[in-house]
Amino acid sequence: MTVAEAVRDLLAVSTDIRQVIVVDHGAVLGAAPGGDDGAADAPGRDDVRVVAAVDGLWQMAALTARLESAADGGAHLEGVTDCGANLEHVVVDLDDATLIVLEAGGRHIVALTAPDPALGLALFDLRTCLADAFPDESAAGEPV
Amino acid sequence: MRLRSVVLAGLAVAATAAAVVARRRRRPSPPAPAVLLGLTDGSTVRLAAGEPSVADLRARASEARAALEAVR
Repeated sequence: MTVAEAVRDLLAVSTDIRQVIVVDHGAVLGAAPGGDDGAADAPGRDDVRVVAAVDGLWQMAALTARLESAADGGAHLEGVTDCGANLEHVVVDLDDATLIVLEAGGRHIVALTAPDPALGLALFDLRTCLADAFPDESAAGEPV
Repeated sequence: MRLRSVVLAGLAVAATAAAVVARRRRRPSPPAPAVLLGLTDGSTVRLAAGEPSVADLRARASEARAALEAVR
């Protein structure tokens, strides 16, 4: 399954997710706007902007997580070697929507959802999308 | 007389239970976090609106949203 197919399946399955992109090491691999029948497009000229914005959000969220963890006794700081090592997902309430960024295997999947989504379900769908898009790596990387 | 006492005691218990249930129903549920950070160890950090860094995180998220919506 290609990234575009995985993204298309995600939008077909999820009732909350409106729009989604997959970012892999600074490049947008798959993107699909909501309400477009899940048609996944090739990367466009706005890719650089979205990659930078997502990276900025992720780095700040990772730093916040480290600071909060340190305030809780520093238990989460052990083994952390870089800024984003301990963060798995970020969920930000934007009043009329929710932005979710989830990281797996060095890639980020970014989703815009309806307000107050079924969060557990949305996170599961996003993880499944990445696993479908990169089956070999997820099979090798998943703990049993 | 004894039966009357038992009935009254039962009514009192029922009234107390109803009051407790009603109070619990009136109690507002905790507000949803403005930002939720999920960590790789399964724990989460919940940040309510007004907490330090939430405004910055929301501003960056809005920026990411605008960029996301521009991608076609």
